[in-house]
Amino acid sequence: MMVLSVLMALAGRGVARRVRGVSPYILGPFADACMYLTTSLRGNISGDAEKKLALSSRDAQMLAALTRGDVSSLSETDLDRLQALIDTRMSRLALHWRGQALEAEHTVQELTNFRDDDSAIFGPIKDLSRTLIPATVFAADALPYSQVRLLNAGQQDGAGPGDQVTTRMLLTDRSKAIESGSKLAVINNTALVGRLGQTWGYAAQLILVTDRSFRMAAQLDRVIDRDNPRMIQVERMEEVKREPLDDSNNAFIDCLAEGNGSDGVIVRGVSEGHNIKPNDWLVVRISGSRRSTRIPIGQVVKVSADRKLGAGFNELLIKPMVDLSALREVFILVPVQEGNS
Amino acid sequence: MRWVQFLILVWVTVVVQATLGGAVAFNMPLLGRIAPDLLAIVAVFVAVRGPNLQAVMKAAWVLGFAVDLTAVAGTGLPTVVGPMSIAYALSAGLIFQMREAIFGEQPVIQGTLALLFCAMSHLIWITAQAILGGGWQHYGSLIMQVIGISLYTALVMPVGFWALSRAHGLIIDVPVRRTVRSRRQAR
Repeated sequence: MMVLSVLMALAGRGVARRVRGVSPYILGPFADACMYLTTSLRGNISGDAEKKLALSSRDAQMLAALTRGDVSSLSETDLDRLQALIDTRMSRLALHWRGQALEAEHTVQELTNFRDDDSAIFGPIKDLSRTLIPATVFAADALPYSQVRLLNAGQQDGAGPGDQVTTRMLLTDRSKAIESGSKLAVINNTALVGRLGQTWGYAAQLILVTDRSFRMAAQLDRVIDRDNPRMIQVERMEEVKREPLDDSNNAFIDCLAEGNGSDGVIVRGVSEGHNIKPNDWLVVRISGSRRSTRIPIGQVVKVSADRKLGAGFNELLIKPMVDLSALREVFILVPVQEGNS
Repeated sequence: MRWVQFLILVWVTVVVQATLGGAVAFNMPLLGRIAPDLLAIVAVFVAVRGPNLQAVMKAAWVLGFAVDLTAVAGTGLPTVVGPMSIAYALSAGLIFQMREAIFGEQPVIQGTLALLFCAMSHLIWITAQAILGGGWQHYGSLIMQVIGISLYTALVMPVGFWALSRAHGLIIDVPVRRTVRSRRQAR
């Protein structure tokens, strides 16, 4: 048995890939049921954090008193609590609408570029040149060293190594997630969660964006604050100038996104001149034949100096847009070949 | 060893580890993402209660092979199959040799054995994967993760040992060996 292990270890990854092809079938439907429990549990844990922000009956009474102008009945602690609640909700709404505004701006920009040929923009391979294959996460890696999941769709469904994988969050899910009763319309809340690694007949390995082996060309998208624009360095006519960030100079910044092995994505070597700030977006560009689509990965949460490249360069920590520990339903984006639609 | 029942136990443990294991995993600053290694708990139980060295090492090899099959990545690149089965068999052999020197099955001893087993087998695994092509780029952070996983497994070990003790007769065909205390009580 030990000799067999040594031989398999020396045989390398090719043999490992074939031998591991049996593991999805060994895990089977029992794993699917257990994964359902796990993702529900993790989803509820995340949900508990949301519930802490929910309005209690006492909060509602305090708000009613505040609306009536009856401030005398509220203590200082009550007012602090109300202030915290209002701040949290305001920042969430601001974040939500900022994302919507950005997406709308990009869509308008891209459609404007092609307005001379509207009829050619839309179609199976013209707006998003990908086929969406629905898949479900049914197991994870046995050891926590990696951020890998197993999907119940594989080569038989058309999936192949390197295909990008996104969330499958629907309109109703999002309106429920934001606040009950608000019913905010959300056009798109899809986020990139990873790409496929090894694929087998009826299963595939999903490498999450936070895994150590995840590397992908991405783009940074800066958020424009019209009231207080940030200063950026722009190169015009071989001359570097400092200008406030606005629509005319807010170009996407190409970068390499890498998983940090735990719960974030790292982008290294970003010039300080780009002036990236927390809450800016990391997105992936998916090229179509007529227009391109950008899918967000997450938002910048920390900007620090890049230790390897030294002065003038920053390292960014990005928090994924979705809770990857509760990931269950996904779409695999399989490229559509021209003439094959 | 009752091999059929044991293989069923391995299958159930692998499935639980690959699914429900995620529910108890969490990220810790400096240590990274940690979760208990449930198969290591079974391996330590077998090493402590197993009938002989050969059976213990065979059982640990099966457990390690199950980890090899289901641990696809980890060191930055896809991993190779084999190192964990060797690491588990060697570590279980060591625990088996030590068990005569360690009397009793108190939770502290169980936890210490799990810590030792997990740290040893996982260190062998990450080192072997690095040598066999995974690279040394993340080796430092992986060692920190090994420490976290070993400590977590050691904490969970007494509960796992208690649960497996209930099923002792189903997986091991020899009765529980007498501890020093039970021998004294028998006298």
